[in-house]
Amino acid sequence: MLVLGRRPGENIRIGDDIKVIVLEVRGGQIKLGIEAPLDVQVHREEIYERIQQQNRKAAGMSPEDLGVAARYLRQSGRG
Amino acid sequence: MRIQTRTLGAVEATPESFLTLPDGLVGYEAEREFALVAPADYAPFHWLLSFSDPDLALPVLPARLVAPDYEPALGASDRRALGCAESDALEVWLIASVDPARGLTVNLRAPIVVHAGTRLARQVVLSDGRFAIDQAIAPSTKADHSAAQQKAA
Repeated sequence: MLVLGRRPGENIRIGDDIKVIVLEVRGGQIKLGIEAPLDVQVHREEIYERIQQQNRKAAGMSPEDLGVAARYLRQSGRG
Repeated sequence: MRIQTRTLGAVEATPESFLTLPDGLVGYEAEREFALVAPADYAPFHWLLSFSDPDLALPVLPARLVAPDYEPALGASDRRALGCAESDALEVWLIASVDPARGLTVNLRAPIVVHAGTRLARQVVLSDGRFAIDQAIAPSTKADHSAAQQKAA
């Protein structure tokens, strides 16, 4: 892993078109600005982890629970 | 073609149901070939089944059914990955799960978007934090059970 020290107002360039700007450092928190092309996805890591957990949970669903939920949707006119 | 699954056993899938997810699913990036099938017992649920991983069978619901006003904003990379033009119609599916406390929930933050023409699909991670990962759309299954029993009695 490349480790770089930066102060507020300083930047990091990744390739030609991605810029990470250190905006503010305060009380153990760092505020970053990220300039990247529209087709580069930028997300907080926790979001990916939660989606991964949710996918795992969906894959572990019991057919019985799904059957009950399916009946509920049909009865409520959404089936 | 027959697809083996742990949850549903062997499921028959026709070529029209096949989908390719070039980037896989979040947490299952290596799985690319899927079928989207609709076993009658589980209507209106469909299942996204991996060809090669019997443990990977995800229940999904059409977004228009449970969230008619839902309009995810797709980025340029998403459209490119699906090989689609701005005007092409896309199907949107939501991964569903049942939680003992929250009942039936769908993932609005990371829908499965399908291009019906190319049969390419993608789990899109939306940047809009207002979309919940576990949006409740029905009461918990326990409540459903007791309601059904009361009705029967």
